[in-house]
Amino acid sequence: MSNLVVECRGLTKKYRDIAAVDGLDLSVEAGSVFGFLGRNGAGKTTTLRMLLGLALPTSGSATVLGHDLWSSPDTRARVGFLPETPAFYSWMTGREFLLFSGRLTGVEKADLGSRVDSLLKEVGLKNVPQKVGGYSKGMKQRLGMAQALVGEPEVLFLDEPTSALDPIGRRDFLELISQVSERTTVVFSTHILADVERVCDRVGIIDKGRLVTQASVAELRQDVGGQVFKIQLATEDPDLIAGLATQIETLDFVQEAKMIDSVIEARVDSSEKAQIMLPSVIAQSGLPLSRFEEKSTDLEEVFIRLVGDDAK
Amino acid sequence: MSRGLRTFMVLFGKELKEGLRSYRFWVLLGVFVFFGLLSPLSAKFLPEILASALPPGVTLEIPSPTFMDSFTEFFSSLSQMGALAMILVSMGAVSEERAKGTAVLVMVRPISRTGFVLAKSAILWLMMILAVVISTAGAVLYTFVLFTDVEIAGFLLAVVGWIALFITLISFTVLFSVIFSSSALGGLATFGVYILLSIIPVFGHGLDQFTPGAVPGVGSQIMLGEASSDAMIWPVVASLLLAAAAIAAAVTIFKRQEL
Repeated sequence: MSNLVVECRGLTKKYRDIAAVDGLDLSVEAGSVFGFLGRNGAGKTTTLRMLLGLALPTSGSATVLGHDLWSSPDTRARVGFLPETPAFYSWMTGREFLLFSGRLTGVEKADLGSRVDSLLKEVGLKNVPQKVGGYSKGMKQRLGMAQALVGEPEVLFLDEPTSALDPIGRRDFLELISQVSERTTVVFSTHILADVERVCDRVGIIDKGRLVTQASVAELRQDVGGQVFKIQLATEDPDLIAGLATQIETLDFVQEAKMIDSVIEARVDSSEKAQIMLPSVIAQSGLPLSRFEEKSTDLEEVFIRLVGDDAK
Repeated sequence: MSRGLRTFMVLFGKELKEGLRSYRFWVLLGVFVFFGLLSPLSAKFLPEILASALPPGVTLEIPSPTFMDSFTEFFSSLSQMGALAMILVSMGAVSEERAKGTAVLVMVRPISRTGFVLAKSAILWLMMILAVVISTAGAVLYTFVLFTDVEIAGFLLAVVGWIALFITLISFTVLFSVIFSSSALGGLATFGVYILLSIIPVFGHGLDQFTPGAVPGVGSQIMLGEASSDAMIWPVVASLLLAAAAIAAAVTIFKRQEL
């Protein structure tokens, strides 16, 4: 039996002749925290809108829990959504909005009050009597998370939830996502790579409406990014350093070796081979070594390698 | 309870609270009560006010006002101030929710879009009917106080006709607020429909008896005893049919609309 909760097959959305989403194939397994990563305008929000039944695909299919939410609105009771900038009725209190959302979702009357109180506590809005119109951005985002969870969804879609938050608000919100991910599948769209590294276990990278790759964060770092070795010599002669970089680049397990600020950075396929071979190559060169360090590729480097440098 | 009915009840409750808390209902009621009370006063005292403003030695021959002048004044205000207030209050019904983004957090729920449109329409109809009824009560009360030999049967029947015409107007406001993203544009379009409905009876051939725009004329005729009460049936039926068509169109369009 399929364990997929989100599936896109050849999903395309065109506005006139421009394809916002172009033949996207994507799948998300139950229980994962899926980072949907792409630069601004890559097609993330449009994809989420089609998955949520708020927009119709030009072609292809988008299903959540096996259903097309445009034609099967009942399934929406099992799905939660937090848009990038959630808009509320400013004349309601947070509690009133959650009660309203819960009733629309079909939560049993007997359970609703206690569930709303518990959610308000979880998002830190329990003792806030003011109307939503007086909330800060961070408070609105947390209320947005609470309304998305009021129906105890099996899948939670978050569209760029941290973009508008200050560093502390962002940190708190990411902690909230981590907590929530223990009880639901999370699809988290963002262009902030650090957020994905912090909370997601799987990643789909989208660019120009197409899926570039989909894998676990660890796989991406290893398969796309490889390992990087930093070699610092006790000399600042650029010719000598450049010569050694060229020599290192000829090794079969080295993808590339370049000189950055007098330091050689060698990206390798095999960490084990590099640990054995690189020190001996340096020793043979006769150049004095002052630092030899292995570091993992971060997601930012992987992202830039996959979608191009203009993504910066 | 079916999903559609549940959606409707929850959304209707929300619309009701919003109308009361955002002062929309109170503003509408205030405008209607204002002219409801002012119309009899104006009809009664306008000749005296005009006469006092004339230079010494000049006299003005104006027949003594009757209750009919009071009711005529009321309908004149209803057709202008009342219609305008109603369009202004209802013109952003759907478009504002779309523009602000609040519609998204509602539409991602397991609800029917039909319920969304119907709840909005129903609360606007209800607000309008309450405002007209209270305004009418005020006008009748002051008319009884200020005038003698008051006959209200024809007047009340004409009010029923106006309510039907206003139901049509509100339904078009909802339709245009679904079609247009700008509330102002929706309001203007509704105003255009109102003018069109008012012009159509001029062409005669039954259009002055069987269309929504016939309500004011037929209402006056009934009040003056020139037409029987049955004459109001067709304008009312035509108004309600047109309102139903506008709402059906609004629902159909909204169901296909992307958010």
